[in-house]
Amino acid sequence: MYIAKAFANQAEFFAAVDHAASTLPPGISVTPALGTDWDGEPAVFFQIVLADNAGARAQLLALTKQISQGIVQQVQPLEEWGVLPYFDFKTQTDKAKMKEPAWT
Amino acid sequence: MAYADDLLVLAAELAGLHQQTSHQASLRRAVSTAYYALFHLLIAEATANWSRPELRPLLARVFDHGPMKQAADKKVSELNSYFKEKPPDGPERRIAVHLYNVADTFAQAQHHRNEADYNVAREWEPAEVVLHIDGVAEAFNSWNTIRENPVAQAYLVSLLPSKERRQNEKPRSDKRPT
Repeated sequence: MYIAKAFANQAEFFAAVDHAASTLPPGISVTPALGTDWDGEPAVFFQIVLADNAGARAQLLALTKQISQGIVQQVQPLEEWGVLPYFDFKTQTDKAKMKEPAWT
Repeated sequence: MAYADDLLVLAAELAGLHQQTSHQASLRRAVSTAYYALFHLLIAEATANWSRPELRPLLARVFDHGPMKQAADKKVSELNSYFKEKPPDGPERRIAVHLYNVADTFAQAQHHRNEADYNVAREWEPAEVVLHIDGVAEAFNSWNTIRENPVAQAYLVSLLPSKERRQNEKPRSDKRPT
């Protein structure tokens, strides 16, 4: 049975992600979670929270690409750790909404 | 306007239907439609090489989500290795950047489409949906920049299901919908 290196060495993998995240511009939080994707392949899901004032719409896409490509280039999730990377970006406000209980 | 372009416009319209609320049905359909826009763009570009236009829709049926995702993942990985070598700026690198954008956006968009269509526990916010659609729109631009390049045309061929890819596919009892 094949176990992706990221699952077998989770502490090392998350340390590599932390190191990559530390090189990103300030105000960006990166939370990785290991799992399987919709095809059953080993995957890492990055939830990235941006400051509400991270940029106008036109700049936001460029920023998200800079972040995702920066992480992929530094961590090499697939090539070095055997997991396919997926990225989700939220603003701080959107992230806070997710934490609100349903009755508010 | 081509079908893929229509879908991209529709995705933006769906995302903007209820701007003051996070209307989940509209946002989910917007994410899904944006993926299908890119899916159909690539298939239309591939089948356009078939000289008999009346048979192109039939040929289009050969393409499938799974093999196209595998081809996208493979191309992204190949290009990551290429970029790791820090190639000098020039036409080759610029084409690679655009192709990376197309393949990576396809892989991410398919994942998000599955999330939007099947993961009802997940809540979507308008800002992130707009970001997804902008990403697909940029992938359209990237494709239009490189579409005549041999590297781009070779990528289209790689999207076809292949015997080799089927043989390498692991048997899965918990196959999920694509």
